[in-house]
Amino acid sequence: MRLKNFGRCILLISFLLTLSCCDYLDIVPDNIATVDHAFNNRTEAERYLYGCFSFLPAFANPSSNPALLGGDEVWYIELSDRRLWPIALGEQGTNDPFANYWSSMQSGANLRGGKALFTALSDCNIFLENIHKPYDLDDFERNRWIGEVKFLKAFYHFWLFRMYGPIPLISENLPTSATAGEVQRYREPVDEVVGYIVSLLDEAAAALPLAIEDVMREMGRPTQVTALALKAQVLTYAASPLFNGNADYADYADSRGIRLFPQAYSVEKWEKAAVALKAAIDTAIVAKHRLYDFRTSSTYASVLNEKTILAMQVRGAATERWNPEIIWGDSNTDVAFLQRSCTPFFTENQGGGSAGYKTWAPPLHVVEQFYTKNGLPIEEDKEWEGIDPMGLRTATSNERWYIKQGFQTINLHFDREARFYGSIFFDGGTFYGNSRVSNDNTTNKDYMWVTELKLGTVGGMIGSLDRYSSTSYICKKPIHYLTSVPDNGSSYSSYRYAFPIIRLADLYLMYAEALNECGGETPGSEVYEYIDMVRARTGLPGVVESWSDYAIDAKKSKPLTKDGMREIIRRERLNELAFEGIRFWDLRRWKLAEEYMNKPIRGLNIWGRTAEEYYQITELFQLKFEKKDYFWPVKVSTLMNNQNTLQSPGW
Amino acid sequence: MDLNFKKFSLWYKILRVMKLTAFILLVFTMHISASGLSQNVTLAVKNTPVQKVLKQISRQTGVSIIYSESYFDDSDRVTFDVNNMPVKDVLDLCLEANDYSYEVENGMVIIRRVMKVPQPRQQDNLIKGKVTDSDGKPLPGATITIVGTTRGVITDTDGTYSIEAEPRDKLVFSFVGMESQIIDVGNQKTINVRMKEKADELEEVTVVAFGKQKKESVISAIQTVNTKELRVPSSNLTTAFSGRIAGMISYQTSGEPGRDDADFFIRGVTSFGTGKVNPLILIDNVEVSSSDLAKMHPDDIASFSILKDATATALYGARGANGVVLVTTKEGREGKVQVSLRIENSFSAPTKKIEMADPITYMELANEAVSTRDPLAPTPYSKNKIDNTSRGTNPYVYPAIDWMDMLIRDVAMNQRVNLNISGGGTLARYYVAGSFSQDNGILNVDKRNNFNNNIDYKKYLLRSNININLTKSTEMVVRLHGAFDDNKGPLNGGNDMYKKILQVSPVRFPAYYEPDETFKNAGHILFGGYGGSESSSQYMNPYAEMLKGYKQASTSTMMAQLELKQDFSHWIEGLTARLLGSTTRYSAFDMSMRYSPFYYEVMQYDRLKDDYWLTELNSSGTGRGTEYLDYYPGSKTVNSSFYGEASIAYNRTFAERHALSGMLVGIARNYLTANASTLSASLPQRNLGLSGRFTYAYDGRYLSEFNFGYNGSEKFDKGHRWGFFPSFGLGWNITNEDFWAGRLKEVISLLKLRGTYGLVGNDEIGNTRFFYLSNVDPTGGGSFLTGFDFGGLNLSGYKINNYPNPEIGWEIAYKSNLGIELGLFQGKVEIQTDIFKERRTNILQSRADIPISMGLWSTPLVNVGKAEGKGIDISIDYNHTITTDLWLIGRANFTYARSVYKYYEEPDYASLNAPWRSKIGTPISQRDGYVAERLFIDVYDVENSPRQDFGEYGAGDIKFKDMNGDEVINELDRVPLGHPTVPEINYGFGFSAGYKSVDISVFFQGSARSSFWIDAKAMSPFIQGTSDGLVLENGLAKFIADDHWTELSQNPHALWPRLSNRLISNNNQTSSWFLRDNSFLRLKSVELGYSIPEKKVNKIRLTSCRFYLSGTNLLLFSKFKLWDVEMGGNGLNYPLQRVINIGVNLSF
Repeated sequence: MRLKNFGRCILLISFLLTLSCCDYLDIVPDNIATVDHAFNNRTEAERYLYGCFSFLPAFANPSSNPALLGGDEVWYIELSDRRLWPIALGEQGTNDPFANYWSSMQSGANLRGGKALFTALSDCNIFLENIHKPYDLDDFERNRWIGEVKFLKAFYHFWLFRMYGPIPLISENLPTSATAGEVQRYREPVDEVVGYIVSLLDEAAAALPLAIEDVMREMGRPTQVTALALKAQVLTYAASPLFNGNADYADYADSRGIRLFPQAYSVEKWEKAAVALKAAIDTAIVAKHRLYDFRTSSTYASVLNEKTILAMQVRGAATERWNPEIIWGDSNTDVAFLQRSCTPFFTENQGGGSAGYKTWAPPLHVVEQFYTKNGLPIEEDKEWEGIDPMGLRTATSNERWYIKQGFQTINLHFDREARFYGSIFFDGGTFYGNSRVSNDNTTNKDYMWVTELKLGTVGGMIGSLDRYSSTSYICKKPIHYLTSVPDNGSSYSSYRYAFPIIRLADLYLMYAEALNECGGETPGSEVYEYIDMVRARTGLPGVVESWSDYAIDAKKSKPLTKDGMREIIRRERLNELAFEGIRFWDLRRWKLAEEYMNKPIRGLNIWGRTAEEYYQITELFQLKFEKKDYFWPVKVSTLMNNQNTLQSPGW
Repeated sequence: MDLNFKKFSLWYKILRVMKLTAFILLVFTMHISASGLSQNVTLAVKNTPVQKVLKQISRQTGVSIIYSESYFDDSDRVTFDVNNMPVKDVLDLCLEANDYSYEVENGMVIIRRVMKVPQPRQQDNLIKGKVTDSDGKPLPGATITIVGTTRGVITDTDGTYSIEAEPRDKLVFSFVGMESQIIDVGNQKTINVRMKEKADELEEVTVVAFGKQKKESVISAIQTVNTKELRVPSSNLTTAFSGRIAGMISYQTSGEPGRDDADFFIRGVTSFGTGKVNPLILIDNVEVSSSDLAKMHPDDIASFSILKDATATALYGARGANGVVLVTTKEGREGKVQVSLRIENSFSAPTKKIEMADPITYMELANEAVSTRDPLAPTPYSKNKIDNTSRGTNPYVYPAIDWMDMLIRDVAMNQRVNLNISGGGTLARYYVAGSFSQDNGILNVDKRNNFNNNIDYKKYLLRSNININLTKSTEMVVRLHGAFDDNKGPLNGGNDMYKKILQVSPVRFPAYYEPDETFKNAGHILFGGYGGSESSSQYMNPYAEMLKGYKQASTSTMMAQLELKQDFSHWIEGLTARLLGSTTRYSAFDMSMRYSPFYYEVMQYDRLKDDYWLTELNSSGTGRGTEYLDYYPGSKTVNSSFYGEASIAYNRTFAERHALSGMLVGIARNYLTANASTLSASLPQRNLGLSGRFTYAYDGRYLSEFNFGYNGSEKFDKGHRWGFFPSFGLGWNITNEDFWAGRLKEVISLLKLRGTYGLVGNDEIGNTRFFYLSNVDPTGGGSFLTGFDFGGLNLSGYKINNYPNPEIGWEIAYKSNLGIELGLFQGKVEIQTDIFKERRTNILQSRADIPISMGLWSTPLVNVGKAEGKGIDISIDYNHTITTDLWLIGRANFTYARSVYKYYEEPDYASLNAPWRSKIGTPISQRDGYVAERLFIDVYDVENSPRQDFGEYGAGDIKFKDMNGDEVINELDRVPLGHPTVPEINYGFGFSAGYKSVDISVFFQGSARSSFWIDAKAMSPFIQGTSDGLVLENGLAKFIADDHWTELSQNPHALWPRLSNRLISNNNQTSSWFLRDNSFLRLKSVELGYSIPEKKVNKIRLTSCRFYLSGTNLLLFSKFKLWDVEMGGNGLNYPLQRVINIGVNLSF
């Protein structure tokens, strides 16, 4: 009897065990998504491709692109969202760096405007490993996509290189099961990094089309020209003083004993850069890129006066949608915020919600840096000798296209080059655009906006603590002339354009720079040729002509020496490419940031109601730039789990 | 069966006929045999029935003895040893003890019964007394009988009785539905009896996993809570836990009705990471959420136990690692209908409100905050405004609003009603309960609006437990339970509303404007606003926020359960089986109605006429004001779960010494949610398990137990899916030993030692659903847009949420427990002490050695973490009925639980020269941060100190200690700070006493060894932020206004650093600067009760009626004074409530 019951118990247990062995717990269906699905067909693979693109910095976004607000070119105000301005304020740190691009998606949320570029590189590698799989992808397209992803890989490496100097090279992915020792990569020496990026770009250029064919769908993707231009830019960086024989980082060596910065200055690097720049420029010309000209690009040119047109040349080159000068533009980032930040109040009713923010404030040194109408720095123009830039002067009818007629403002605002008038709002200055685009001078002579910025005027500080310009100047260049705010300010209508990443003038000026560097003590004619092309567009005489005709005696021969020419080219770059996120990197590349960025930020007195009160120079902030600031700090916690990686020098 | 019974009854009839025949024959025979009475008898009998003796006498002597057979029964026995004694004398011997006489007639002996006359001495044997139920209420209709007789009496309506009984008698007290009691009369003249309810087995039986065990044979650490202890004036059961349950750590951080659940952990938190650390909660064997538990009414609870160690929880192998809360609900009892009604009304008010600075100070310091950081920057408040505000010029133009005073009431009133009805017969029993509660918030209701915005939380519960005896050995239990609540209140809840009141400037704008000439006919409230801001957003006006709409939420939980119990005793003694199926359906939804407020600003003010002109701020655009309500559907949550359980149990004692029991349970659980956001989350969650318990006890002295759980979880890869969790325990009941006797046993009535060791598992170890599968979101990655006019291709890439790791399996707890149970002075004092140690392994963690440069989307997970918990919990109960009128109960408990990291995936801090960063050896919920030395004194101090890498800082900001001496303050300088954030010590003590119809109870509760941080970010005054398109502006707390660093008084030890109108992240770091001690002691509750004496109550046909006045959170003792310290860092939340409650409990 008892034995029988025991048997029953066993039976019960075995029944329960059978239950457990059955598939009650197997609830996961087949076909749940895995990475393999990404490469089953062309459609999915294209999505993955765009995923690789998505890690590109938002070039027009001051929260993502540190070059917009993080330097000394644009000053901002204390808002709850300060974007990347704190970098300029010296608040960068190792705990939680601003614009943390040395990151991956795994490291969590706070990139502070950066992007997870190591994840981008890993995704690019996954793409390259698997792109042979889609059954319906033809070879031609596959090749182009491979070229694009190689281009992206190169760009991501370049972006990291520019920020951090020596970086690990993610040529291929390691398996997740790899041991700690295998996955902890080292930073590689500068020359190796450059060599790797260049080799990627060579491969990319070979596979990419000369120009985008399906512009309506694909504009914004890289072309052969883009790859060559990037390659030229990379080589220019490598040749620049920061990387080429920079003794400051002589001791920057890792635990393997490898020194990461090349110590010997090499002129060949400039030569290589020059060759690459020439190749890029030549290919760009074949691909029908050319310097932008408002006269031919805009239908309004015929009804505009020459001065307005000249002022629009550089503004148009930067903001005209996909104009032929754009070698690579940002198709992904909206420029609405950028434009609003630059837009002042034009009418009384624009104080409300949807008008401009007018927070994008160039400091006085940028205002001063633009050339005179003769194409010279103010301090080198003999016509400016003895003129107090802060002295008051009243605008005449002749000057009305740039300054309101009869308006009293300072000398600094008179007799400047057209790029100045196209780039900066100042008190009493004019503005072309915002629904006033055809100023037919025969019918309506003064059909242009005038911005007045003193306290109590329409455009001045009106008591709103979050909408004012700290320096009393506002950037004008980033505003497209078709962008508009209605008089009552009820809706901001942004005309979207592709923010320029590389444009032809940039290449021209880099080419001039490279040629000057690798040439002898006397610059060759080709140096002048490329810089003069850029100057000519805004109505400036050639370099040699400007200096010989208008410079003070001590500076007359400046363009004839290599050193003089270096200074001129650099100044030209700062003026031509102002507010486009170039100065930030250039000052670092030239190792000049320490000189430029230990000066005070100055502006006019925004609390001034009268000209006397208003035109007072006010110091807003003392900039501070140390050696460590040339490179980005790596987040401390990032270094903790990879002790083979060095902290950036000085941090 | 039926057939058998018939056969049986036939036999019975035949027997009866035969018996009758025999009797007639016997009488006849006796009559014949009778002769003279001169004979002698020699006879020795020992404890022999009288009848038998009489027969023998008759046989020896030939004398016929005539008597009625009914005179004697089997119990009438005699013992004597006579040698040649006359018959007469022998008969005397036989009958002397009994009330019989005999006479001799015609040589025959005729025995007659003596009809006794009541004698005076028997009055001395009158026993009087009173029978009451376990609550002390009189029991009318209870029967008292004398053992061995048919004599008995019934108690009166007041429960009293009187009965005649000899000292050697035994009285049996019985009542339907109550446990019968047998009492030796002895010398007692008054015998009062407190009857115990049959089903109320709490005293003797402890509820354990999947069953019950005799209390004396329990070896595992189980804390049983008297449900009366849980009865607090709150509609949230979890608020009663704190300090009342040994082994539980509990605290409450919000007082908002419907959102005031306390956090509770059993023996602390011994795991880290993202997995489940809360205990498993079972109501009638079915897993429920803590909010389900919070909604339970204490009157419905039959038993409430906390299972703490491995032996207690191993049967729940899969889910028991964090301890188990086991609740059973009441069931009906045999007896007439019993109705109990409880009505309560309570008044609640914040225990403490945070004090804000006055408006003038606010403005002055707001200006200071700006200019102290940047002397050039524009200051927000002009001197003119400050002057006019302080003069009180025009309250609309120069507002000075005490928002707290305006929007928060002092007191809220809440009501609760609970009714339960129970009863039943032998065939079926029922318990039906319903309760309703309404809790109101402390927000002010404004008559300007046409709807009520205050929090209104209504809860309805219905429970029905029905037991039906299907056959003699089969019982069916049907349990149905529904919990429903309706919550109406501010759009984003009370906490949010309360916070908003503290996130607004008192002077920027008034709550509303009285209409001016232009807007006098406006059909809406003219809310105060402030124009002009960066992102076109309005400033948040809390008055508008409160009035602009409301949210309505409703949840319902339905539970249906069927249980079958089969007793197989007729087959094998001690064998039972049980089958249980249960399903729970939960649904919730919310919706909100709101209009968009119109904001106004003063455009112009004529001081002479004291007249102002308003301007509308949002007449157009996206934030345009509306007068009509808009409707916004909210979230809808639906889920369903099924639970099934089958068990077979065997329980028998052999040879009175060997108690043996065994049990096997199979369980299956399935949970499905309709609100999954991903495919993998939508798949059912399942558990499957087989558990067993085997116990053997020898003579009630030596106890042993073996348990196991064998569980499967769908979360793991096939190779790791099943976990086996055994445990065993040994116990020694010393007081049952023979040597433990006499005086020793009187003093120490119970001494039990017990020890257990075992493994328990946990499968809810992280947020990821399937660790062994990759989790990919094909469109979850970043997107990219191309095309000439930005309308071309816009595609999103792939996102990898999880990299597969098939090696991930169960988190395992190795628990050991040593316990001592001590009973003193015949149970007046009971002390239970448990010392425990737990080692938790396989805790899920992210790999720490994967560098950023791998570029992964998510950090791969491994389960390698280890933790260790140790502690002690003690409970002391004192229970003394001093006289029948005076009783005293004392109670104290203490819990100490400390858990530390034993292994943690972390960088190699030793080689980074920062060994203090390592978590290993530090308490689990301890936070780390920087050591704050003082505030920087001046610029030179800043320049001569190590660089602090958190952005802007200067004089008056917090200076941190450079731990590693590298001249930079960064993450490597963080050290563990303070105590853990979960308290390590919880304790409580109190007493209850009653005298006649009055009773009082007082209870204190405390917590120690925990820290919290003042939330510097949330408290920083003047900081602006945006939320829902509205600009929030932190208010200025008075303590900051009173004590902060200023350029005038450069106090390096001021409570608050230098002011700023923006967040200074240097000061916002977790540091010792804002670290505070969280320990406190509070007078948790006081209750005064008055029961109307029974006689009066009975007249109005009630069995009892008790009025009571109670209060919770009455006093608080703590070093921290700014807000209720129990809320910790959430000082800006809806405050904890002090409740004063009046109630009445009626039963009939």
